[in-house]
Amino acid sequence: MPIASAAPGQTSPSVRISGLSKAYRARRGEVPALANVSLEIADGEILVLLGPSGCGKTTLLRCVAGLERPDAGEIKIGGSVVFSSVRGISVPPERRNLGMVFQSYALWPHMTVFDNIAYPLRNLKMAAAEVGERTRAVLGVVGLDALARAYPGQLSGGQQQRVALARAIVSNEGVILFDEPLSNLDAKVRERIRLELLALHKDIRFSALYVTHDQTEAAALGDRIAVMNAGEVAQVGTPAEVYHRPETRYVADFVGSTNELAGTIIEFPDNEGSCRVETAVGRIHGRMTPVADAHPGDAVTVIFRPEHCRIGEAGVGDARANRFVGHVERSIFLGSYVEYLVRAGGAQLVLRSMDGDLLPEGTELSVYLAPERARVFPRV
Amino acid sequence: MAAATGEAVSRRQSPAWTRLPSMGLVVGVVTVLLALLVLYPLVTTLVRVLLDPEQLRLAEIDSAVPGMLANTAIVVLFSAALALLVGSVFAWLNERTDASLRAVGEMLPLAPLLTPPLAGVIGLVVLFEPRAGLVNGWLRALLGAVGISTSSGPINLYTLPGLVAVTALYLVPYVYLVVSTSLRKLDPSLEEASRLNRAGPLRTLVCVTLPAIKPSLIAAGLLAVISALGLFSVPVVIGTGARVEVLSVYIFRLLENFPPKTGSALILAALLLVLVQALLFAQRWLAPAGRHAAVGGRGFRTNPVLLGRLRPWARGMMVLYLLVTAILPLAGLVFVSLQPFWTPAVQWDRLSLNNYKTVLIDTRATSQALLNSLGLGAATATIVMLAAGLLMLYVHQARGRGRRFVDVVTSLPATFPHTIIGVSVLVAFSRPPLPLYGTVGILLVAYLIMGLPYAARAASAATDDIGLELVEASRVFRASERRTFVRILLPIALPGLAAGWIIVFVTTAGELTASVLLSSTGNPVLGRVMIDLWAYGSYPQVTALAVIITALNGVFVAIMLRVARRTLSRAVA
Repeated sequence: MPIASAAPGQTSPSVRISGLSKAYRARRGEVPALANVSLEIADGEILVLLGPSGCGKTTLLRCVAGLERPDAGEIKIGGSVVFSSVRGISVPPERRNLGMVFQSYALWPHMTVFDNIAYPLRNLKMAAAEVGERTRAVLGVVGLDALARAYPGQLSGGQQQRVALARAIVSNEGVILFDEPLSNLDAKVRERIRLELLALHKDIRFSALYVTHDQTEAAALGDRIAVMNAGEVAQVGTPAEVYHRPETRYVADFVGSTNELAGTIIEFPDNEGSCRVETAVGRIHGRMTPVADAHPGDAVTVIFRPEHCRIGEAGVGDARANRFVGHVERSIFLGSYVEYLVRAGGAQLVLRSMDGDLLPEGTELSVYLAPERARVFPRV
Repeated sequence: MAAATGEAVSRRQSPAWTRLPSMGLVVGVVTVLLALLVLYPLVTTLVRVLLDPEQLRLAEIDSAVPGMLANTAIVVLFSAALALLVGSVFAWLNERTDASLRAVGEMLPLAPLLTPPLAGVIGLVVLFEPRAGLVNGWLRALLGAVGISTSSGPINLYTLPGLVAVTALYLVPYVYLVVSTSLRKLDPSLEEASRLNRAGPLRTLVCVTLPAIKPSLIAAGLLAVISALGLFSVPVVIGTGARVEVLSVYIFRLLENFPPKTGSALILAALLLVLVQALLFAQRWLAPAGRHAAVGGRGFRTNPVLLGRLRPWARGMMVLYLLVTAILPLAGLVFVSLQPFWTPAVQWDRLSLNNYKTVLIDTRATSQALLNSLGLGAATATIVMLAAGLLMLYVHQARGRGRRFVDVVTSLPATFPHTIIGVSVLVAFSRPPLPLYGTVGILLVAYLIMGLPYAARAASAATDDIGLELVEASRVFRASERRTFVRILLPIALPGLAAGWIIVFVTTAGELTASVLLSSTGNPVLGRVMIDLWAYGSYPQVTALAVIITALNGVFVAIMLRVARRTLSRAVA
């Protein structure tokens, strides 16, 4: 496959962002969009920027693309500086050697599928024969050989998405930017394209910066996830790290659903982050990171995920786990799992169970929660 | 290294220039030239008036002025009120009831383009002139059959009510366009909610629909008043016949008669300008765009109000309107143009194309005028569309930087009645340093000023729909700004720009108001020649010219619709 491998000896096409800041001038002063953001995308890695709308993830992506101009900081792509506020460098988008998949696909309506995909190659002043060969090869990869002569307006959403993808990978430069590319597709198509994208990445090993607000998508696609909050990177890590060991309450909240219990620190049994907290459901053994500024008596919030709780018949024990007793207030059947609203010691908790049987309302149950699943954060 | 640092620093200080080098310069020059074009005649005229108060001797204003102003007020206010009523009713019938006629919806907004101003009025006169009007002739024949015989009438267009009615006919399309657009955007669920809460169709109309579109109604009414003030073709033909002088025609007469009373003309022109600007200000103040929360982004097809027994009447009224404004006048024009002289009696054996031969081949004045008008129309349309297209695409690509300035320059001439443009170009270009009077150059200047707002509107409509991501995608995929302009923006906007070209061409080739002030025997154009032929009573030749220009307009507008629809279908498909 002609596009499958990068030319040997090519410089490592990774991205390094350091100290990037940008503010938008609004009517009343400046609104910070990015505050001192530093990130790195390793060669062949998909880094997902995850966050709610307005957190600065799209601004960051557009700064890398050269479509926005940061106020300060530096961006390196594939070893060369494309932006540096200190050195006064700002390389225009067309000379940054990127591919990009836009949220709206941004397919040019007056060009055929073939011409859309060939556009980057033609701008590289490539010979017509090679343009044709590479374009047809990519069309084959995304499975659109038959639609080469169609116009974008005649394609379905999924097909348009594939054309946009083909255009992004055709020149094989190594770094591809994705701006919420799947958000306009319906759920089924989104899942299919996500799998295709992963397969394609396995074949071509492009590096990617991928913006999304969908945590499932982030977890499925990302080698690493950077969770963003108000223009800052809140946490970077593998999907499992971010999910299981959120470093801030914000990250815990944004990545998945949570239960929250207000409480007070009683003691730190060891110096490795273990922490005992008195809460409405009783004493909970959890983990606190970083533990630095916390002291016994501090107000904290214990956070844990519904799916991390195990539900048992009252009486079955588990030596290490936290255990609290409650009764089912409501059972909600959601297909692949059952969600329970449980009242325990004055607090209402959401729990999930994958077993098929639906516990009737009013059932007494014991809830078990492993200490490493209960994250303790200072209460703000 | 020092040089590199210096370059870097200068780059940082002027980001606009590093991103947009030579194209920015071209665009800047074009903008300045357009600003000069728009402002020079007006400013020169104002300066001349202010520096030479000699011209402004009030004694020159004769005693006819107060009566003329009263007539103007009556004609303008009554015709605007009538047009507001009829246009709004048509808009409601078409957008919200089962009497909706697609033909009306498509034809009405285009009516001003389809029939050139003078041709339509002459067509109406041909039908309803008290003595020789075709319809009058046939009606008299009918009346004669039942024993009533008169030598004129029964319908007399040459009266004040006739002038008001015909003026209103020409204002209805403007009202219709404004009101139907806002009805289309009005979320139908507002009305459905009213119906579900037990309000009948009439109560819903009065309590929900009308209040929701009130700003548009005000805007439409003011637009009708402004258009009526500037209208020239209707009063110059019908007002003259009815001996009712109004402002726009009176200014023309002051400059046309010998010796020309330039001073009085300038005073009255200034009055007209002030009036129109005040009305535009009122429009902005009373009906600010987009303030009503009720008006949503896009409308959906709603369940139409069922009119029942009224439905055929409603439809009949709209069909009658189309007949009277578009079809009958054209038929009348064709009919008269085929006869040796204008008479309601049909002489089938004497029909011929002689009049066409006369105006196209035998008479140099008319054939030259036709050529001049078409040539000036094409030149004007090409120049203003190139300029407006360049500016709008550039501003769009630069994400709206400079948009305000470009908008102000290009839309400013739309706030001047054509009479004002004609007078100021006449004053500014009759003497050194730019003595263009008597040449086609002076017409070109006036046409460029008048065409610019149309061109700008068409160009911004064509460019605003182009998603910014399409431009950004081109940049990311290694196309420079200029290449993006040529390969992406221009091709996508081209159909819209072509439609704009046709609009400017059609309005310019049939232009009358400024043409009569600026054209003379040395530089004849259609509007001027037709007015002269009309005044001399060469009716068959006027009608032949009117038919020719109407046919040309029809062809071009049909092309425009085809072009525009093809773009639409590509966007939708």
